[in-house]
Amino acid sequence: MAVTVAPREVVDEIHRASRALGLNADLADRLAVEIAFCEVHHGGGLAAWADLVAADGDRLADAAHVPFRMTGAEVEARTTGTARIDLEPAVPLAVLARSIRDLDRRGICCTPSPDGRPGTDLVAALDLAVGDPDPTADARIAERSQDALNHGVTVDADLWRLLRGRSHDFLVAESVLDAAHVEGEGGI
Amino acid sequence: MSEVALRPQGLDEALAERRHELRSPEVVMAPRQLGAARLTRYSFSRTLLRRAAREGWQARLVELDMDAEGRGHAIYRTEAGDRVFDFVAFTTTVDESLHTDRVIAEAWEVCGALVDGAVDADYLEVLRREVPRQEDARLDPRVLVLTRGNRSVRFFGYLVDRLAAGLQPEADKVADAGYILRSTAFYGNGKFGMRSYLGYPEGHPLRSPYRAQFLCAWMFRELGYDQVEHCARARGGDRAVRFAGDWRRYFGLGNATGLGLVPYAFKHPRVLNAWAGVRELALANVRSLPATPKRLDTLRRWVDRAVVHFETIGGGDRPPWLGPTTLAGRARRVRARIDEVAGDPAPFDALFRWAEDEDVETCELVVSLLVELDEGLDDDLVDHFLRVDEEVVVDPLTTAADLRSLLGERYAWLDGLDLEGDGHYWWVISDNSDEPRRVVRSALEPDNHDVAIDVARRLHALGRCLDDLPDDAAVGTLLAEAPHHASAVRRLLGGGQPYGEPRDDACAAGYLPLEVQRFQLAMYGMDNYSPKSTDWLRVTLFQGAPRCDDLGPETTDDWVWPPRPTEASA
Repeated sequence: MAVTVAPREVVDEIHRASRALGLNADLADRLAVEIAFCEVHHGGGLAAWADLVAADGDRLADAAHVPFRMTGAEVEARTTGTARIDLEPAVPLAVLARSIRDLDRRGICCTPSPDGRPGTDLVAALDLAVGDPDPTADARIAERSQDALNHGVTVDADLWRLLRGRSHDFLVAESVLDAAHVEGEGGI
Repeated sequence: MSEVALRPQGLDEALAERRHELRSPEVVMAPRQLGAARLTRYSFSRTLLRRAAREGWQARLVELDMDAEGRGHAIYRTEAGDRVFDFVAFTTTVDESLHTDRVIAEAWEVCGALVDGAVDADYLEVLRREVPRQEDARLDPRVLVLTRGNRSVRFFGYLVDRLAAGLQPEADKVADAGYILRSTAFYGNGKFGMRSYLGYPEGHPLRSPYRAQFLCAWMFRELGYDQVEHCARARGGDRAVRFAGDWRRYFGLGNATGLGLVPYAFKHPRVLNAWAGVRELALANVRSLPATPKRLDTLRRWVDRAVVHFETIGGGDRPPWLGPTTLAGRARRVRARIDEVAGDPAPFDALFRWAEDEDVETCELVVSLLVELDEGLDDDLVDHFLRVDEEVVVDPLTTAADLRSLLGERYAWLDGLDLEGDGHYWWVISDNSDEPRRVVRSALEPDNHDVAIDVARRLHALGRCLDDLPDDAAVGTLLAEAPHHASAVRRLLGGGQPYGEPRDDACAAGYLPLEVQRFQLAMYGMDNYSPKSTDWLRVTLFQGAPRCDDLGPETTDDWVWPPRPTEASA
């Protein structure tokens, strides 16, 4: 079974679910953008996120850090020409696909390339090298993004249900808020 | 001249080029000033109807299937160029005791959706199943907006009674009631599976911010009239009459607005900048105009309209804001001042400068009135300015020295806030209808459930971190080690727009949500601001606006602030 969702829903739900699983707002923000991008352009974003959640330990938090480690590596690459990040344990492509695209736009080539690979593929190391941006990539990505914004993106219904359940945990029960004397009904 | 040549610059360039003619961000974005904002001719309700009239849109009721109590469904169709939009509303009645304005209510008398395309019988059944489920609905990209609301408990039945008896409403009985139905949410932009705003293709008639929501709201308002007239016919038979004379347009759509607006305001600085920037450019245009009899007459007509409108609504102040009676008095002072400055070489600038020294509500009333005279911004240009790109690119080689410099340049106002500690409030989303709320920290710890709209605090924390870094430290390296500064870095590097930031801390003990809420509602085109607490208020939109039947080449844009009808005018 499949369900059609809007890209922003993937962002919102991954963010909330990841917050509920302990990530801070900045890590959850970035992870949500990465997963949504991957779901639209490569597929397998939600599946990769679910795999991380199902894994033991801090896999989700560690994976969410990877895009930020890439910014550090980019500084090194632009200073020395190359950089390498070893990822132990390996992380799914879904958590860094958008960052790879961003690097490419700034003239940093990444190996392995994400082209043609689903988000669940694992990446054990990433090599960065100063190069030339792919002049066709932006148009290709923009077209697919526009299509997803216009028509939605089709995702696995079971994964969506799982995600929705997790994201609901981010919300706080009305009864808890009432007990905590939430503002909103007071006088001026 | 090509269309492109008519738009040589974007909003940022226009604001930068004319910055010495514009009000300062310190004034415009001060909380009290935001909390005094009023609708202008560039508010979304106004621009929608101007465009609809200019481009020959046609709107009509195509189906109404309701029982004598107004329960059933209705479909309204808008033809805009080669596109059709159907507003489908499902109506019922709920016990008065279940009526609430709060977005968290569980029962609604009206649930509706705006659909891109004509709704056939099969799709009507899909909508009938999903639309009443509201936040639990699963919609598809044909749907652009999802909404809901209730009847006015005080007036719906009264209006039905009057029309059923063959009578128009009595002016003194409707008091400040400016609406028949009261909405509470206009969800769009990809929520619940709907079309994403950025997915509207080039040339789409609703491809401007909030245009779909406001078309939906305008239809929602029309439904109120049709429901009352339908129920009156069912009750009164041949004796029943329709709304006549000035009553045909007097009622707008009520709206109840809560904390949901606040996170949006703090998360979209470029959007806020565009809304305020358009208004400030228009104000600067008008202030530079010389007097002509026509301009002065136009301004006097607008002020007179405001005087009569506020006077006939009547009523005391609405803390923390002025009420209609006081506003009528303020408007009369404005009227007198116009006569005093009429001979000035720059009378509109003189009027504005006088208003600046008055209270904030008088000042913003004058701003709203003056903007009516603007001849410098056309609607296409405004639409162009309002479509902002919110993507921020962070260059990892940006240095700590660069960030420190930007922080001082763009956020010096943070020094005026007390940002030490965690803040009095934190923001949370309730499990009831996804409604944002704020919680006193001492009563409940966030425990990772906080909505991160503590922008001022995050920037302050980033500043403290930067103090400890060498000048040449790269932000890429910083974020690799401290990703919790990512949103602050992005905000700082993406900032720089003059009107992007409410100069406030949403987590402070004294924070008053009403202020930024009113600014947003004014930009939407709402009026009749009536606070019900520190956190939510009621407003009216489209009061006095053309009805579907009125839409045509002769439709004029002078409908806001209608006088309450009298027996004679009805």
